[in-house]
Amino acid sequence: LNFHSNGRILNRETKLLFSDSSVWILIFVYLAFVAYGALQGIRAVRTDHAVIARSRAQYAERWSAIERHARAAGSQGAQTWGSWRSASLAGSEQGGSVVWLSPGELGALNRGHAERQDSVRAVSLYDSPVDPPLENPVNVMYGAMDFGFVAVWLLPLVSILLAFQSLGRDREQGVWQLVLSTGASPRSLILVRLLIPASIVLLITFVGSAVALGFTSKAFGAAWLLWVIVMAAYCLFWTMLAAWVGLSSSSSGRQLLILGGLWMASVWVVPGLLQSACELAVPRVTPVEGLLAAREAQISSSQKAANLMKAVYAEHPGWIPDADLVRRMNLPVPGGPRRRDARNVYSAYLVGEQAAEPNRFVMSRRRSRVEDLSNRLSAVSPLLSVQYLTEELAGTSPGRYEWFGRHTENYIQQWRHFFAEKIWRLKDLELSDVERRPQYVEPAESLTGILARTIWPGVGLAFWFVVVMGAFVRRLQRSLVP
Amino acid sequence: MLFSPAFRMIAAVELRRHYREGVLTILGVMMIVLLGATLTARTGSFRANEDAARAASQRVREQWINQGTKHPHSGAHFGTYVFRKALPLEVLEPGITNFTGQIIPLVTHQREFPIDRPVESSTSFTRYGELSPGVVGLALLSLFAVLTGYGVVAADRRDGTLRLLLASGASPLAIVSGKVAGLASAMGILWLVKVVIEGLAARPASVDQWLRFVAFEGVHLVYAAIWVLIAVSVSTLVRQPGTALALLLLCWIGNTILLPRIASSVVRLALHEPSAAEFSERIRHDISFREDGSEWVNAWSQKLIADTLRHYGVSRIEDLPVGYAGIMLKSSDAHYEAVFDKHFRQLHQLHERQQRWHHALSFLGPWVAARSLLEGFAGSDLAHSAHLSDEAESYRRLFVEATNDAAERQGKGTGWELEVGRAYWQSIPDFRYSPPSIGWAAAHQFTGIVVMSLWLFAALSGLYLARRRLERGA
Repeated sequence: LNFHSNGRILNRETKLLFSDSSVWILIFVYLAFVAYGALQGIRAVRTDHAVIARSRAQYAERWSAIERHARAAGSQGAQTWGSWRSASLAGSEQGGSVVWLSPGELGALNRGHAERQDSVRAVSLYDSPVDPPLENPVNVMYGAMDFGFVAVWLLPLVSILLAFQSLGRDREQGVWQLVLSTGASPRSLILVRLLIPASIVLLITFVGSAVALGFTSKAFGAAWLLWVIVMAAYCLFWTMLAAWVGLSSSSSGRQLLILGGLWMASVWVVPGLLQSACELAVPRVTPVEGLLAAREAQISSSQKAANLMKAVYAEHPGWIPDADLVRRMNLPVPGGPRRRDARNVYSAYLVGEQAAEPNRFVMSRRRSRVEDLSNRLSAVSPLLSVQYLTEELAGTSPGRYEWFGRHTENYIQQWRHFFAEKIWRLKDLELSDVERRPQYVEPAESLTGILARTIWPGVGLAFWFVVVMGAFVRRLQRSLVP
Repeated sequence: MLFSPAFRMIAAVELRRHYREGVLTILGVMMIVLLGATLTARTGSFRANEDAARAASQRVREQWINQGTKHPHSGAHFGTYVFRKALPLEVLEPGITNFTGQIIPLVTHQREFPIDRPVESSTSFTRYGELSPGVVGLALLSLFAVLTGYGVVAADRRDGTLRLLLASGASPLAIVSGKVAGLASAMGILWLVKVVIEGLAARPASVDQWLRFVAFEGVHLVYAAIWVLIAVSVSTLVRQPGTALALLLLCWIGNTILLPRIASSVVRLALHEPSAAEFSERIRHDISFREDGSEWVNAWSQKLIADTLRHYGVSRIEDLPVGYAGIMLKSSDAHYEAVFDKHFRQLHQLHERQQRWHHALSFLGPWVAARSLLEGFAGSDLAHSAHLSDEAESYRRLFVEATNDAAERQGKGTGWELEVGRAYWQSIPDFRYSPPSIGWAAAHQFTGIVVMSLWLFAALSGLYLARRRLERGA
């Protein structure tokens, strides 16, 4: 399109578009949604950073207290249980560790899975405590009104509403030939009529995203450029679809009906059906089996251990447990020194962990399978493709959290081995141990991992874009034949 | 006048037209497909979860009884679990159940949040909402009203048949009510199909469940009626059918898709929950410190020991004729429970206030109120969730109190030497849960019922205005 030679058309069409009050209303409504989405994004990312900073500060505070006690203890004897230097307590509630996943550079542009996952997780020698879900489930159920919602759900609707009448209106009113008689090239006219609304929508979206990023990461690099390209393709897809329907159907009511139906199917019916398909293909696995197995194993091990101790006492009636050990355990327990010995506590815990392991494995495999399946199925719909792509770019995709979970698991293992070794040897932490404890380093995911997850949604978007563009161009050529 | 021959004729013609145009068939097929898909996916998992919850409850009870010989307080630490059993109608409307934990851990000293939220293992497809049979019903019935109702009067006006109708002696009231009756009859067919499918899937077993099912389907009917009235009113008030369609579609999208998210977003901004860290910290603080800022445990411990020794007339804990552990645990648990009560009550009250805001925003569109009513009658709303949670908490206190009581009555001295076995664990009753009745559910959805009634009244008023307009035009 040569804008210089067709400046007159552009000028006239722009005036024509903006003379319509409903266009202004639509633009202002969209602007308001974009501004609100950007605000939500900024707020959420800042909250995430604050939560991470607070958790790290608390962690540092806890460990500096342990360090102080370790220094003060000097050459005191082992205090196995209940002391500040106890490996069991330092590895769990008294010290523990923390892992975190910082918001992605474009985190403000799509909250994605971050709405359902904590950005900080506590790490413990025992079960890692999970933050209580305090959010009203009704709010979670309805979903967030974030920038992702505006860009992925509302952008198509606004594009449709702005573009659907741009071509069909003149044909419906029978003035198409009259418009052409002014000397305007039909091709230029059509392209101008499509590009103006698309440009307005994209401009608002990009400015909104720039503001959101400007107040958070200020990362206007390759990732944002990719995001811009994806959003441009997405907006053009819906604009071309609207134009194609506009050219194919003579009644504006029918056009709106078809386009509204397509939008509704995209945002609602298709995701719902795909969710049902996923549930049928990979049924949900609950942690119930694991919980019950862990309890059974604990009962059984505790019984076995108690029986063993009784047998020891029966066999060696004169044997009395070391007085110092009993004092340290602080318990006159009939049946033997069992309950508050860190080794017993930890071994009982591990017995339960081991028993629950098969269930955990099944749950984790199911999670991977369902994630993989949903990633592939996202290609079925352009909206889902863009949702998956933008979540990947924003670093809020389920895949990234899955990867974070795997990385965290490695760290948890390191943490446990470090403290378990002390527990088995009944040793308290030394100052050197405090310094040598495993430190969490926030990982950066490899590009190949991210790219692997974007293949299917990327292919999906490209496919739908090409299909609609092909259909639109063919329809356009046919329409231009006198 | 209302049931005049003209009324009957217009209603019959309208019904035939909807059938002939195929919209009824298309939407009927769409409804069957969507209901079939969502129900197939849900019913399988629903039954499996139901069986799993029942089996798990039995196993957890067996574990409780067979936990071995130990101090009663150790048994309270071992604790138990409550597995959420879904009500039959939840298969039609899961509501918030996918967003709340399905398992409530019950242990001493702690009121735990439910664990195992299904949403944590679900895909991103449901990021902005789920497709449940209840939602499909609400959405499709209202969409049907929009798609078939936008032209009922406007198209007649455009084609000139409205003038003919008036000239033939049909009154504006007969025309408007006839159109409503025709449209409502067509919609009634869809609704009946839906009722049959959902009835077969839900299989209500008791009177209460049947009443809930009737109320559930009644909400759909009222909601559909509101949209029929709105569609006919708009079609009468707006001159062009295209404009009427655009207006109704925008209202439908705004009400069905945008309003719930706007409502939840506004509610989050206006009434913000504390962060998990803040909440835990507040509880920790209130447990550790008294109102005057002094440490709770020291003052409490000294006073309790002194009072107990004085009461039993002994000078050492070891000489007590009862187990001091039980006395101490009872007293400390009472303190913990008061703190938990305070903070959990505050959280529940906040959620209830948020719910009221949701209902208040339903004045902009009936979707949120209708959905809330569906959840209420299906037993999958916030109130039912809180009811189960409170019942589980009562049970937790019961068994903790029982173990503390045993430690006090059966123990001696410090009370830690006591051991109890199978017979004792068995003497503590199992958790039994009776879901609340439909009356209770309706009372908790009072605001929703009022909002829906107001919408029905508003829609009827709209129709009245439309009739007046038609009369003036005639």
